[in-house]
Amino acid sequence: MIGVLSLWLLACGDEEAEPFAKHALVDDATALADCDQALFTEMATTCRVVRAIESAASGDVDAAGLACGAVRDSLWRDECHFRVAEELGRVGRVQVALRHCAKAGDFASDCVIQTAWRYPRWEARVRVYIDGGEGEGEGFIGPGSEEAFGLLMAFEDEVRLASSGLREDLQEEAMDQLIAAAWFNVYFGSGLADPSLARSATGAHAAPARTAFALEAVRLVAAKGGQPADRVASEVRRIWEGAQRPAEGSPIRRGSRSVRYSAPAQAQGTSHLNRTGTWGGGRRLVGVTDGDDLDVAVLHAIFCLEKAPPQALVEFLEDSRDRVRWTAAHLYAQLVGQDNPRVQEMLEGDETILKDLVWQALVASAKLPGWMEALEE
Amino acid sequence: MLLFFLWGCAGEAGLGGCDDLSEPVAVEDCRYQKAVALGDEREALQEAIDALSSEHSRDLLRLRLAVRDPVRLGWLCDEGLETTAVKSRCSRLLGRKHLRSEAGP
Repeated sequence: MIGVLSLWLLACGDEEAEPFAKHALVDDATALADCDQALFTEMATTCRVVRAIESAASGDVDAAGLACGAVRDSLWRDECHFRVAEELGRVGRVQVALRHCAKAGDFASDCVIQTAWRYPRWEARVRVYIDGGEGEGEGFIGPGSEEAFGLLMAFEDEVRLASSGLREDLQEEAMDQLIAAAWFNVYFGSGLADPSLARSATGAHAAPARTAFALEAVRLVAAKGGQPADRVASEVRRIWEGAQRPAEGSPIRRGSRSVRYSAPAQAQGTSHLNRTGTWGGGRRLVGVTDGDDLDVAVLHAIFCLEKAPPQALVEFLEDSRDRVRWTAAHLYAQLVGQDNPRVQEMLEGDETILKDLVWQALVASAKLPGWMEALEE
Repeated sequence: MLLFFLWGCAGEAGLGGCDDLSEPVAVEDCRYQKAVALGDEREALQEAIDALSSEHSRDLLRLRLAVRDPVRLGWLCDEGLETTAVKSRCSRLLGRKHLRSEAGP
């Protein structure tokens, strides 16, 4: 019987495979060259990607680049560059991060967005790397800071230079998302909604500055309490216009600055309209005038901050300005859902673009992308 | 007796015939090629992998296939993993949503 069993084991032959397969799964590589010893191509691939991530995390940019270059499978080489960009973005090395995004193939767009929103929180002092880290600018940054504008301009130069290796359509996206993230860092959680810095913003900075100001202003105004929901927007507008003192309140020193996420939506026939980045890679329409744009930004801020109730959006559902009305309808529908009578009314109406945006809202997820949740934990 | 042998090895039917090879690398590669040939026939693949008697061989095959084609076979990294080494590598590298999506136009 023992003989028969031995024969059976030999015939099925898996006993030898156990230690071999176990050995094949071990990744004890400490250097890139060790990955060449992997017994299978796929193991060598994962080994090199892991080495690249670890090199980037430790600030060894050259080693990270070499490791990605050694990955033979094109999908995993793209992923490797994406992962390296994320690690470098996390420590503020935006130039070299975007160079890796340029090599990330189909992942380049996600790479740009995640690099932008992983950029470290600008608190008290911010360091802007110029020309790959050889020159650095550093200073205090916040809504009331005199150095803030200079640093934001230096940051724009840095992003422009870094984006030049990206595909043309991604260059614009990189600029917008990085500038949006930078302004978010200036305002959100600062405890001061002083509009002077945002009001002086021009060009690529103007819309992102309004987005960020509105977010902090709505947060502080809503936190005060005491005013009806539909007065939040008008109070923020008065602060912007200088008719009311800048809102002040508790800064968010630690913990999450996560806000409700609005997934990008685009109705048919509106692709030519300007859009700008919002929290976590979202997009919003840019208003025709500065005033319209502030209102669109305020609507987004009301949506993003869960303390602000949907009623604060109602007055804008009949607004005569298209982009303001469309934005309000899209965000309101996301908040109240399909059974709401106003939403039903909009769906039964004649306005094609508005209906399209409301439909998109009803299937949209306000859940923050997983990578952003991890970021703000 | 012949029937006994056939029954004993029947579990490896999907990846059968590889155990005759003398080199362990060749055995694993043979199984891998046969698994690749099953394409994305989920049930057949699952059965064939489950039939291997070594947990390390099963996980090695799961990881290799998932790395080869994350879009169609990335699910192998989500279900039934047995070894710490592969659980850790799957969670670190293959859990990302964009790797599981078909490339856009």
